[in-house]
Amino acid sequence: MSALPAALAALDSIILGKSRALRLALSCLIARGHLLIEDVPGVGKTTLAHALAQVLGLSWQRVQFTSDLLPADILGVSVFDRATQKFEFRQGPVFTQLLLADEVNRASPRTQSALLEAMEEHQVSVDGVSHTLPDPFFVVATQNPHEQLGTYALPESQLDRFLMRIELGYPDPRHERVLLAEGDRRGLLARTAAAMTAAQLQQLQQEVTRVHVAPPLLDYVQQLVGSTRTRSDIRLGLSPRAAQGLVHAARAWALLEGRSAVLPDDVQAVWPAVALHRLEPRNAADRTHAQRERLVRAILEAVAVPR
Amino acid sequence: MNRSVKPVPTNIMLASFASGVLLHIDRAPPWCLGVALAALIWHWLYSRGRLRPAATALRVIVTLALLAGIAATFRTFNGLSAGTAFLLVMGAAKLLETRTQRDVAVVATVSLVLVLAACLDRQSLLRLPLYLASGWTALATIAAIGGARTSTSAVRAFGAAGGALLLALPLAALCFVLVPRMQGALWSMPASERGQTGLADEMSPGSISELSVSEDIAFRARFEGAAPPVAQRYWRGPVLHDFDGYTWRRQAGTGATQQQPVPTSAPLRYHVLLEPTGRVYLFGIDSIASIQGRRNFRTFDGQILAALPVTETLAYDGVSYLQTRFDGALSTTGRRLDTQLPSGRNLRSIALARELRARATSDRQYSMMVLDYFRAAGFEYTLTPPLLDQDSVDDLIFNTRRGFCGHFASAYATLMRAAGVPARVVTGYLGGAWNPIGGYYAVRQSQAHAWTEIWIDGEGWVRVDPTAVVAPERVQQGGSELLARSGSALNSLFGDAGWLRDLRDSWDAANNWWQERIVKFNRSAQLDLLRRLGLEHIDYLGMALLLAGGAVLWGLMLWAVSMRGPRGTTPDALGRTWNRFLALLASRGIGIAAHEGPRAIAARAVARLPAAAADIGSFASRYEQLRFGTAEQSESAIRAMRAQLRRIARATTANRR
Repeated sequence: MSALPAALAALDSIILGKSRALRLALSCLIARGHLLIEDVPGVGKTTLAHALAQVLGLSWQRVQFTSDLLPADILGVSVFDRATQKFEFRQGPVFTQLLLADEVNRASPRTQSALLEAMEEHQVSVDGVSHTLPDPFFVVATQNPHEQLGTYALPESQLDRFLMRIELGYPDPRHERVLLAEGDRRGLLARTAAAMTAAQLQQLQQEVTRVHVAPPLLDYVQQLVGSTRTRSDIRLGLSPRAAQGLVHAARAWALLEGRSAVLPDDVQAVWPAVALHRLEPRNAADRTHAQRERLVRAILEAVAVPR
Repeated sequence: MNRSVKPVPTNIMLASFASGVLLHIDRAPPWCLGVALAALIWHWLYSRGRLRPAATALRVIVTLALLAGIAATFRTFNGLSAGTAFLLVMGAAKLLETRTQRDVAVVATVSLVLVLAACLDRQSLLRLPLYLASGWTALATIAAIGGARTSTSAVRAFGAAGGALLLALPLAALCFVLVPRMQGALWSMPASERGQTGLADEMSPGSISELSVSEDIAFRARFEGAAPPVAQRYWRGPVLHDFDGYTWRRQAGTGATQQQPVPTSAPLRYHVLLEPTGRVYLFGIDSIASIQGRRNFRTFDGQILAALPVTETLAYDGVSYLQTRFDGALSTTGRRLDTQLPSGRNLRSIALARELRARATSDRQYSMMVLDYFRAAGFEYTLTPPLLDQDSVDDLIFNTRRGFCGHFASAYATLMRAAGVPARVVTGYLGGAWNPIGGYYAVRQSQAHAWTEIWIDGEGWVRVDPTAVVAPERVQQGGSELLARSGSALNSLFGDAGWLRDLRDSWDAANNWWQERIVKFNRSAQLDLLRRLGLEHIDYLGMALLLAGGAVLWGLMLWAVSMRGPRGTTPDALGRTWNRFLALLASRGIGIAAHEGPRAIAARAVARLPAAAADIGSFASRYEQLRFGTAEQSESAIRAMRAQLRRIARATTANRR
């Protein structure tokens, strides 16, 4: 149990002033979920991914997605070996424990779907042969919401594969000052020791599944999810998979808070990160980020907590 | 753009305003309807993001123009018509600036008032579903925007509004029965605003046959005791004296005082529910002795006229005598009035009359001779008679020989007058179809009839119906059956279908019940109902007390309903204890929203009430464990929580508001 606070403290020391985003990211990973970070360049998305890998003691790879990136560039290729007279599979960068998919929306839909299939199946198929991915396997994808030119926005079905979507945002002046004074974070990152072993991480993931969820809480989740399906201002409500994800993320959050049972407050804490990228407002005018934020907040405020 | 956090339920709101407008589609000025339609389309496009918000200057100009339009159309802002049109265009103007939920509430309220205005205007049963649907939509609009718990889903909004309507039903029924009724309707409208239907105060060839194709109800009648046979059911209406050779009119001037009939048979009592006509005539079985239920007076020729035009369904009681006699002689002015004929018109008829009269020994015998002449002349009774020329009686008797009751009454009266026998044309209705479901006679416009009354010295005014000799079945059966044979398409198709008749009877009976029991629920009907409920001697104070008691009961019912949780479950002991804690926080000035979780509530409570921080913290964590954790609920745990609650209350008395 002590590994979690240590991991959080380590992350806090690297990414300054973003405690809430870091908690969400950590709970996403211990809930075995993939993470989508959406923000402008230069706020530390890559650093966060790197830090997560470092602190959790995971191997990691980074792939910069571009429009000419091919599925084989991620998954790997079969190469003919003259010496052995056989095809030999050369693993791509996806064969790692934490894959940072940078600017995932720049790649072609074909490449995106190859990645997303790997995320879902935890294995890749090349030339008819399945290759199992390492365990744990996480994808931390980033995208820049403001650049639209030459990008392929992820369709809803694929956004659904990401358990959470978070943003980092600009640091506040106090923390930005520290950043400026101390210089590069990469050196600090290299010096940071892992807060847990891979075995400890797997144990944590097991613990998440044991966090208690009471029937009234499931009622609450059902009402929340159900209300997204009946509201007139939403074109596409939350899927059952999203509902499962919401419960699981809330469990991870409760564990992070040191509790053995999920409270409505935990559901509310992870709600925006779980729901925002999955909801499709009916009116095009409401599909801005600010409007979506208002929408997920309004849904929370419209559903009563069970007493 | 000033967008509210919660989305605006555009579609329900537009539906609610549109349905409110639709209720007035046949009464409001066309340009007002056009304005409303344009505003609806504009707002719909705007809500789709196709249009930009209207500029303030534009809105001001539009509003002023609409005000000017109302002023120009009605010359007033007073009265139901002008008020409704005013409301309608102002509601439309509001759509131009409807952005927030508050604006939506205004539009929904306007729609509700439009429904109210329609209720004041017309109260027919046929329109009741329209009013209900319209009011329901307006309430659903309000439900869609109100409260933190409601969602904007249309189904839920309609469900919530429907539930509220059902909850309000007991109170509405209570008020309906117990609120004292004013004598005379508060909302009765000036007659000039209404159209006129039914029998007119003039009759020209064909005017009654036009009426005869209408299956509208003229009135419904219920007899006390046995009803007279159909051939005796002459419902007397306007009496016509002035004849210009083509058209019969009422006597415009004051008539001479005349002998009134003296009853020679038992009185016949009946109850009539008259549909609005816009005219003053009240109908009763010939001859009418008196009518009660509306201020009225009796004319010299025995008509009963209401003091004000009948603009809404009118219930009255009538007393008539089937047999009467007249004592004394006809006055000179009366005789002159009812024997004059236009000079130089219908000359061949006048010659015929003189010839026949010369052969008769008395006026009475002459009148029979003319009837015999009608019988023998081969007249044909038809709903579609040929057009008659200016000398209408000559044309009918010597030329076309085809006509309707009005033609024969006109011809008979002319022949009588030409021989110096005073005669007048009486219009009204004959017959009425028995409605077995409602237990009354329905008299339709198709049963409109015209006959004559002639003065025989020594006998007085005698009713003579020339149609009875031309087409005896008309008098024996009433108009509808005749219509069926004369070839109306609908009737020939369905005339004999029993189920159709049943359907019509049921609908008519429902209508009658609605008018008699709901719309015309006046002071006397109210007292009657209270008497039947065993409250015979109740006074206003008693009614007020009953009303207050009922209202309290209703309030208790509302309270019980609202106590149920959002999923229709009552909270258990733990939930009640937690709710008590929330109530305590509220009394300490800490308002709790329905969507707040226990952690958030506890954190706020601790911050605001540091004196009880420890107890609040442990109370909340106990609740969390019992409600959301794995701890078992037990009596002792609840008791411990209640003890903590009391400690928190004591520790925070200083914070009480």
